[in-house]
Amino acid sequence: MSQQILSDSNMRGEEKQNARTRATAWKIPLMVGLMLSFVLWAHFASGVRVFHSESTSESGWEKFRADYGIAYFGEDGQFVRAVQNGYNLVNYTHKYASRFTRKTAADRVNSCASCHTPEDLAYGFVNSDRVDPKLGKRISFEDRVRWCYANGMEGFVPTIYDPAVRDIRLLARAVAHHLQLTEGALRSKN
Amino acid sequence: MKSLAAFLKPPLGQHWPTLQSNMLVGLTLALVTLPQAVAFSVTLAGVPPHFGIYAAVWGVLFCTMLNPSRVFHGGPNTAMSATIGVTLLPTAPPFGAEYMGYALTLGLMAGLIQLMFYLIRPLGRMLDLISEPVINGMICGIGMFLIFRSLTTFGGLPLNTEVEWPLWIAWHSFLAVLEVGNLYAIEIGLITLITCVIVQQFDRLRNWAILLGIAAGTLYSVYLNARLGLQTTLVEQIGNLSSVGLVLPSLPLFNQESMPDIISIVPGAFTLALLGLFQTVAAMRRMNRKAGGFTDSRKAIFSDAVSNCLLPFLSSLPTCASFNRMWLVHKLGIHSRLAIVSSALWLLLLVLFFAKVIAIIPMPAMAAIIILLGANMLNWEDIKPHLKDRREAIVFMASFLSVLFLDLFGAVVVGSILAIGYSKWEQAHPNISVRGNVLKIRGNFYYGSLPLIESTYHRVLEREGSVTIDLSDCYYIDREGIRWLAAAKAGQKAAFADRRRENRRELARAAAGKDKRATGKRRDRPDRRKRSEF
Amino acid sequence: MSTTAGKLLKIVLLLLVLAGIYALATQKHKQRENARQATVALTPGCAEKLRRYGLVRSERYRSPYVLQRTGTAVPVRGYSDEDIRAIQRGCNIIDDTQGKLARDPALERWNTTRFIRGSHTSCDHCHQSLGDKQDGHGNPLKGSLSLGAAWVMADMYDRFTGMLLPFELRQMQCFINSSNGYKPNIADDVLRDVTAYSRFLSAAMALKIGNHYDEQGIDEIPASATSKQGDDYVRGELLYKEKCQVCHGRQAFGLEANGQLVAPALAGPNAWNTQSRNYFYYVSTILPGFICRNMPLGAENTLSNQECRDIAYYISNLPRPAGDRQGPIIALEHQALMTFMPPLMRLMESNRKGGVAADPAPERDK
Repeated sequence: MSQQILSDSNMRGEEKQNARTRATAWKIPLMVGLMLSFVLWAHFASGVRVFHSESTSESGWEKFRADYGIAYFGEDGQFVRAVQNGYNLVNYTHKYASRFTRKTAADRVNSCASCHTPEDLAYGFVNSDRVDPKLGKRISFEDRVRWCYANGMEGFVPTIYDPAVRDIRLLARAVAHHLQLTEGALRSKN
Repeated sequence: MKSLAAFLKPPLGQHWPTLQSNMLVGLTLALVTLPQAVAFSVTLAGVPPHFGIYAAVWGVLFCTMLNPSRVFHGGPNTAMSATIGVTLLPTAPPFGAEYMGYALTLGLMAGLIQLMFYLIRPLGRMLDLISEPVINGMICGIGMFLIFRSLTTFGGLPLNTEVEWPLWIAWHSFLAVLEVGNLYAIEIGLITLITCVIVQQFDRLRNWAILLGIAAGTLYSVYLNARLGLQTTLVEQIGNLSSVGLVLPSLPLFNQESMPDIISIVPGAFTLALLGLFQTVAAMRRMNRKAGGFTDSRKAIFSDAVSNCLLPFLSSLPTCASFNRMWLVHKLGIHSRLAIVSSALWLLLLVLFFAKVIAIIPMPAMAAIIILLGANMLNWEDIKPHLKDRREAIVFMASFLSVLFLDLFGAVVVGSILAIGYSKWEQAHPNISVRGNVLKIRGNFYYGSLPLIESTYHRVLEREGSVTIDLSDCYYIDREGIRWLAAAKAGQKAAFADRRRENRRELARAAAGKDKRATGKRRDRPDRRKRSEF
Repeated sequence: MSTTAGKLLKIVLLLLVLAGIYALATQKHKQRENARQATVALTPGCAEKLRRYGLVRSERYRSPYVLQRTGTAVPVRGYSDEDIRAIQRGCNIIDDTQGKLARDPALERWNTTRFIRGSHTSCDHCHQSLGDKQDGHGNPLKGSLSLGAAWVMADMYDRFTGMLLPFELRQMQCFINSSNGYKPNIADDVLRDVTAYSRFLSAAMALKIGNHYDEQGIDEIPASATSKQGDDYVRGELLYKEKCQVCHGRQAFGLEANGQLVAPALAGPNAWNTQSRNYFYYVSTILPGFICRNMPLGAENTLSNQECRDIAYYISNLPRPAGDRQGPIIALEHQALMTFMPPLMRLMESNRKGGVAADPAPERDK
């Protein structure tokens, strides 16, 4: 008898649980729907630029490419894209290296190009890795770039292999090739 | 806060105290999670800090929406972040756009694999077979791995690219830190570490150790930079987060030219997925036991899987359960999803309004936090119980060593095989005792244990001439077992005994006798259909 | 012991350990700085090379090599004392990687032996004449692995690592693959000094950034450059025995005499591993190219392309260490092969020949 009562109450408990589950079954699809809607809103309606890995072609790149013969390294390719990223970093530093600079579009000096020409970078590259008499130690090109971010850009120091540093070196290399510079080449005074 | 409280009190009335305590817990959680989120993404995963921050905001929110558990706290995770870093290092330089794209792709693939674990029930059920020694062994191994990996950042040195044996990397990294490390970075890291360890000794301040450590390291870094200049110290910092907003939509990298790299990271995606699920299931299991509740692990798998499928589109690291943060919530005495939701919102507010402060936090301080978290994962109280039993100790050590000597993918494979092998081994070795000609079996009688039973049976048979097989404590017999028993019976040298039937008859008689004495009437016979079987 | 005392003890112990580590770091840093400032004892090869290229302290540098060959030399930036020391140390590392000629190899060679497994490897085994091999008329040799030419064409995409490879990372590849070793950190003086030397060589030769020079890399030999008789292991073995064994040993484990290395190992624990581009199964054009242009010593360019491929194929079948990416199980397998195969082969061969070794030349395999 007691077992029959127990089994009856078990069945009622199970029915209650099933009813509760049915009542809340709509919650999960609703939540998933909300999440999906949020993601879609973020992509299409939030007004925020969607991040993607491909290099963006900024204004002036094609001219730079032609002027400095970047096509020597190929029409496209890993190196060329890195040089393109370097171009973006140098000319639009506040946009492409926003993590390492406090400068904004409103600042007058807000990019490497505000102070340096591509030739400056190229000569800097071939004269790098030498002792700086003021500091008394050898400074690599990468260290100089990091220094500029910290100092000139009133920013922060990137890691040495960060593309924000590496791609500027590659840009400098590409320009040095165009100028046919040798190691240690000096600018003529003319 | 007080004026906000005063403003909100009237409409909320009786709910206000609950809301207030939930918000406070949420704020505590946010303050604890923020440095972790930044540290995991920058030091371990090699992605900018907003990845970890979004994982701590949207990852936590998504998981809370889908997981009914009141103790579950998702968000960024050490092992998963380390897996991302290790997997992607050979593909692209960290922090670059390409690397970030691969990180998102890796997260998406992991999410899809996790979804597969949810949709294919037996796969998901297999996660329950991963035993504690395996999980704890892997967690201890990962703890050591975190310490090794953080050494170069601690010393202000670049990471070594390309994979080598973790122990050799660790040793050479340590020597490199001593010989060519940035001394300013080392000083900052040491101050952070010492502060954290000292604060941890005080129970009341324990939860604030990481925050105070970071504060100490940051203050020292500010002092150094003010005295010597950042161009001299060259100490890396978190950087400008002012571009981080409510959301940053993103697209994982999937194009033809990336295919070779994407294919090469597929094993990493499996590792990421499995590590996430292991930790979620294990953390849920542990917290439910401690807090005294239960949530089906399938729900946790579902919430992880769906979240990890969507988070790559929001510039976020993948998410899984964090036992440490869940334990913190439990210790604060609140079991409410509202607290967890509020932690995500507080975190977002902190980042939006305190970006300038977060920007100057030095990376060596982040590395010190990771070292501390790694050391905390080597918890003797969790290790000790496994060393008491030989089999558990072997499984634990094998799991632990596989993380150090193999890569994380290898460790996950070894861990999974160990877990399943371990359980099979247990089942295949039932307790077999012999008294006279009675052969008693306690455990499972199936194809795995049959060879052992058979050999004992024949030994007894040879000695005694006949055998009685006592199946009273036998939980399960499979068809092969039944066929063997039938053959043994047909040989007319074996008899079977099952005391449970006799015990039930005696119980029923005793119950009938009592009822008769109490009521004076005969007790109804129990319904045999409802009798529970062994 | 009370809980407070226990915690206090823990903190004190930790402070002591960390203070000890910091003190050690400071001491090591000072040691390094002193080593950077110390006068460099040049190897004979480096002294000659750097003297020839006129490396002296000055405001401007004019390459004597370029001056002699062309009549003019554009002055470039000169070198300070510290720059010169870095270049000198880099040259020493190339010439004497193992530090056999150094009084304090750890400091003078920046612990290179820590990054190399085995005792044979030296950079100049491949980058001959200190990375600047020339013929009798002073012309750089084609495919001679010139370090200067490598520098000017650095930072390009590398299909083996799947990324743009800076010069420093390329050096790391040499350590982990060709030297079967470990990678120095990118900030280590080892890499910086070798880079400094390579850059100086490019200045001395007036090489232009981004230009390709014939002396860069190896003059590779693809199958299409042969008579297409097929790469034959057995033919390679015979050639090896005739041409290479006398220096490199019967089983290619190298040859040492009176504690000096006569010829490095081409197989076994002192040789490159299976991830190196010298490994025929990995890249089948590089080792043949090296052999044809540089071997046998004193009789270079006498082997045909097919012969070079055959020898390279044979050598690559001899047991050698596994690459790090292949994991510990393959590594163990290769370790077992290197340990057990050579004595087994020796035993089999001596039995086959009636207990008398066929090769009368004495060898001392490592």
